[in-house]
Amino acid sequence: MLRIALNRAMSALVLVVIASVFSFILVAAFPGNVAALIAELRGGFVSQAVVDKVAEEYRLRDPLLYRYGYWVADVVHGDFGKSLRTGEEVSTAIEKRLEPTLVMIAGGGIVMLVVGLVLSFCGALWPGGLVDRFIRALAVVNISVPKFFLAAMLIYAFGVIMNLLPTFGFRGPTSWILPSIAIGLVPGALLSRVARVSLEEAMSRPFVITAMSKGFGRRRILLRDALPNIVPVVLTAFGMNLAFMIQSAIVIEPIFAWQGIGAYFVDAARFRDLPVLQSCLLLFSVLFIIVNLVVDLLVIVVDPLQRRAMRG
Amino acid sequence: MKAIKDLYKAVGLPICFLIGFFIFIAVFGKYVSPYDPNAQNLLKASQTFSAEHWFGTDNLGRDTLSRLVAGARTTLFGVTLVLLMAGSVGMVIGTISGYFGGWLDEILMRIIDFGLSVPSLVVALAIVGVFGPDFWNMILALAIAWVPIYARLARGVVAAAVNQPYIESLRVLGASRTRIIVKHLTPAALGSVLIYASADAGVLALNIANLSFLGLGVQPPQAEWGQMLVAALPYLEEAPRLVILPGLSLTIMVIGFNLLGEAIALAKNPRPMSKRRLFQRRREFLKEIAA
Repeated sequence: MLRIALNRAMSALVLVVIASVFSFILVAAFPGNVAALIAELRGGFVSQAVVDKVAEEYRLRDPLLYRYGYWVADVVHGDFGKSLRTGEEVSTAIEKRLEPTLVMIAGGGIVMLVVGLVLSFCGALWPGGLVDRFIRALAVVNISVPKFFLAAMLIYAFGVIMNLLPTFGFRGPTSWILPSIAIGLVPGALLSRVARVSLEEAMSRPFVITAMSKGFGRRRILLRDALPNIVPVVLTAFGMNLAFMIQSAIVIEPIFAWQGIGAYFVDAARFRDLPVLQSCLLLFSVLFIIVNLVVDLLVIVVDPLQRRAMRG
Repeated sequence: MKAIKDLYKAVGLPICFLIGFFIFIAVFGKYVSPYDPNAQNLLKASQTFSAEHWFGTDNLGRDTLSRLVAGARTTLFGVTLVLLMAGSVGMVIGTISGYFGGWLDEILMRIIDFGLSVPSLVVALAIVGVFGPDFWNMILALAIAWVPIYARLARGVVAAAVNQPYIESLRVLGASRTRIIVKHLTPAALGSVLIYASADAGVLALNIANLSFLGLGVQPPQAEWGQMLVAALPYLEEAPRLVILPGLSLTIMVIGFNLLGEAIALAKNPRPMSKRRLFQRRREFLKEIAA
């Protein structure tokens, strides 16, 4: 089991290295004169002397491999460079903006879990019933709805028509509700489908028939016998969707005017803020890889069948 | 011809009609739409539904219906371009990787692994950020972000085909490497790439809209649904239709593409028959034997 875990961790590490190379190359391959761009962004008169000074400062004239080395060393020490636009340290900016993003993803995770489990459980409790058909009908629709459209409709329904919830800014728990729903609803519907299918599969196993013959009710069997069986599957789907929420946050944060890392990334892309762009790409890639790794490892820990298979 | 007929049979009329409708308005929309999508008329700004402007006008007095039609054109044009670029480049990389194998394959596939392990929108966003927000840069960025999927797909097909007896015999017969790759391996990969592309179009349309929504793709005044939606957001209270209509158009188009993808996937490897269907089939079969 440890060997498998180490194996997964190693391949994740390789991915992180490739992510760093990609983040570096992306900016190193920037078309045009980076030094001139930076000098221009700083404002004022751009002379050759200024450009030279900038190039010297950012070590732009060194060989690529050296520059990659410098950059990695800086990043490992927590120095992501300075924003070209604001001059702020990227690491402090990210630290400041981490909270809204984490709140959104945590809230989305809760919404996803509640929606997914409640829907799938109701579907399994009354197979072929209204909820069951609803889950199936929703299967194609929910992956087709654009995230920003869903968010806009939520704002319209709860913010404009009913005037119930704040729709703007990151200000206290009530303002967390709508973004969490916006980010967690679609993954929740996806999760419900996965959970429903595996519940159905679990309900066709012999132990369920045994439990039925003992006279237990359907609800009790679902909760006590079938539910533990779907934990690994649900956990995997949950983790994958959670990882994809990092991507959704990029689109959802600007709508609700949250100053999270997603919005930071978008701003950097808008203004060609190269150090920020580089750091954000690296950060998102590494976050994504880590979440996937953690999920993989958790599934090994949680699923006795996999554990036994590995030991055997 | 037969392939098209089979496809039609698998997909069914409603989906064909839905997608055909969007393709039709994308191609001929210019001639059908009642107004120039970019023509402003401030005297008739922010009108609701009327006989003159079926879906009303936006805050600059532009006809919403015409802009929706133009948006279909932008989106489908973008999707087609990205699929063509990513599909062809991915196929070249995948074929090379699958045919030659060895260390080249190893290196290429590690890079592809990274591309697959990080969400495409993140990669596309970073690339757009480096090159600057613009329609063509968005297309390029999405194409780069989508290459890994097709490269992996093509590599799988080619690597499986390379050791097949028919390729072996071609080699024995003296067919050149180029001939084997171009005439025998590429067509094999092309099939699965095309099938995947048709299922992928919906995701791409969503991402084009995502990037345009963030102001990083299609720039105003060119009409695009995501960009129309973001431009209308400040007027959500007064004119919700300006937000709802583009969002709904995009949703319906993506539903169409996703249904198409699902139908094709089902036709390729049919779902195992459910128990009930199986019993029914067995009963029919027994009846036939008895008769």
